[in-house]
Amino acid sequence: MIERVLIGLMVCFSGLARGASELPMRDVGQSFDGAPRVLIVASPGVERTELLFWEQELEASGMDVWLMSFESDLEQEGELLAQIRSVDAHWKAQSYDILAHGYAGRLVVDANPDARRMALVGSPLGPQLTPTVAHVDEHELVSERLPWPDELLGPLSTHPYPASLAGLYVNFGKRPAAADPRAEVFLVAAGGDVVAPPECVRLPSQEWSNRLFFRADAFSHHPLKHGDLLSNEAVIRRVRRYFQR
Amino acid sequence: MIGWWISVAVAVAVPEPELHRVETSDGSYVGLSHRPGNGEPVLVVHGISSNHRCWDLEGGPSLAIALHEAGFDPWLLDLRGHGLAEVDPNGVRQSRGGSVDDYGKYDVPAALDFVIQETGAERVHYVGHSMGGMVLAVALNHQPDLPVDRLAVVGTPMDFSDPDRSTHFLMRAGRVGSWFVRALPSPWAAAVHARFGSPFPVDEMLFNDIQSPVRERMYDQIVSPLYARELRQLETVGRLGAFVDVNRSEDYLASLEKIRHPTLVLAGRGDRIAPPDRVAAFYLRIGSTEKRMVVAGKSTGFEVDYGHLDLPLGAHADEEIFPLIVDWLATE
Repeated sequence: MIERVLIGLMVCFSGLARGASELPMRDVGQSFDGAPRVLIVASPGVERTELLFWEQELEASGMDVWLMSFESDLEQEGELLAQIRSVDAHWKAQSYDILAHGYAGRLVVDANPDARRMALVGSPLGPQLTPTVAHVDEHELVSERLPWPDELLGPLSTHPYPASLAGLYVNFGKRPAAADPRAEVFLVAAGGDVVAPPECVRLPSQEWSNRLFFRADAFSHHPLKHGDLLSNEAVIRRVRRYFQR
Repeated sequence: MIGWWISVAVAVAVPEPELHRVETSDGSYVGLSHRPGNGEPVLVVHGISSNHRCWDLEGGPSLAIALHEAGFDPWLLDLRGHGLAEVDPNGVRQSRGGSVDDYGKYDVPAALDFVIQETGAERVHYVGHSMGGMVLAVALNHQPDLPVDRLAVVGTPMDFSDPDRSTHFLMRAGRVGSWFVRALPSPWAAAVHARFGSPFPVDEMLFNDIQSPVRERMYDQIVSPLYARELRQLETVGRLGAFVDVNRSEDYLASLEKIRHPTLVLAGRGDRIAPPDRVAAFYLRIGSTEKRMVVAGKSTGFEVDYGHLDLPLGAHADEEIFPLIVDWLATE
């Protein structure tokens, strides 16, 4: 209990210390001038190390990879969307693609930045068809995991984040379908992913103007879970091929 | 001891099935396995390459018994070329089977007519697994006034858009094979697989919650030949990304809007054959105002992520799936 209060205080005070102008975004790995630029957006609550495999794979294929995480004091959806939109001003007329996993992908679609292409992996874009067990305790100040039982998510390290965002995540499973974004979109879903099962990815986007869909575990031995998508080689291979088109 | 007496009492109370063969309007035969009850009749239909045992496994789960115990009068259909209807009343093999169109246009109406004639009921409830739900859509497209009442479709794919490459490849291979043989010997292949296994992840694709000895019984009892005419139609469906008839003139998904019957749509979270996003179209497109969709999996509070065959035959189907169907049909 004391630990949670301390974490909550840290979350609150980090807002006071934060500089307002700097975007929490950085070039990872080597810097390639003129190479295709890919911005990976991390979901609040998910450890950055979970994205290392993607970073390394894209860097190895000659892309200039950047990572955006969110300041820990951002508790409102509007603040997260504004931060994503601010990338356009930051990079001005420079072309870039976005790669996101899970809830970050939904935030990216809702923010609808001027990216050229988006690859969204396991991102819920529409409502669950049956009520789920996703749950967040309303009295919590801080959540330590995504609002699902750990065994349903697969391998996925998390860190404390504002409970209001966990509530937002639960709410994504009840909201109407996301609007068609301006960018071309490559969607990846897996049957074992409880956060974004194919019916929450493929169906809400069926009328989108420019989208491709890939079912990652159509013929695999076992359904892939939400966390598996981050380390699955076929997934990043398809994403890389999409960005290289 | 008390449990033993209860199980004996139940076994005595549920009558042995009566078997019937019924001629269709195009001269083929369907089979019906009937466990006579006093309540409202229910027509229960199997999926592709299967038969009525899928819903009434000897030594395993049985929706037929669950329906009987709940006061219904269950009639289990064998489409032409399947189960009891692999042969006609003269013992001649119905080796051509049929297309999904044939099953919907001729077999389902013939079965409904027979049940109504035998029971005197005005309407019949309908439960279909997988292709058993697709043939219902075909039947209602051709005869919207069919005497069906409340519907339950289980693991029935209706949306074939965004085809998966691997599935499409298999369908194409099946179509090529269908030019050389009328039917693939799936019962034989299933018996071999049940005993010796195979290099392909067959079990993993079909179920997550069926263990020995039910697994072996299932492979022995529920598998019927896979017919070339089914394969050809389904390959066309996969290629066009739409559930159409063999002449490509009817769009069965679009025709769901005409259906007004109360409908329960069940999908398995772990179903690799008919995943929930392909099944959901039945729920989303049907014109009924009274409808319900249930995705059966751990994420929605079920014990397991139901695979394609877990829905009728899984170890938890008795406790979790059958009550959903029975309650839906029993709703006034």
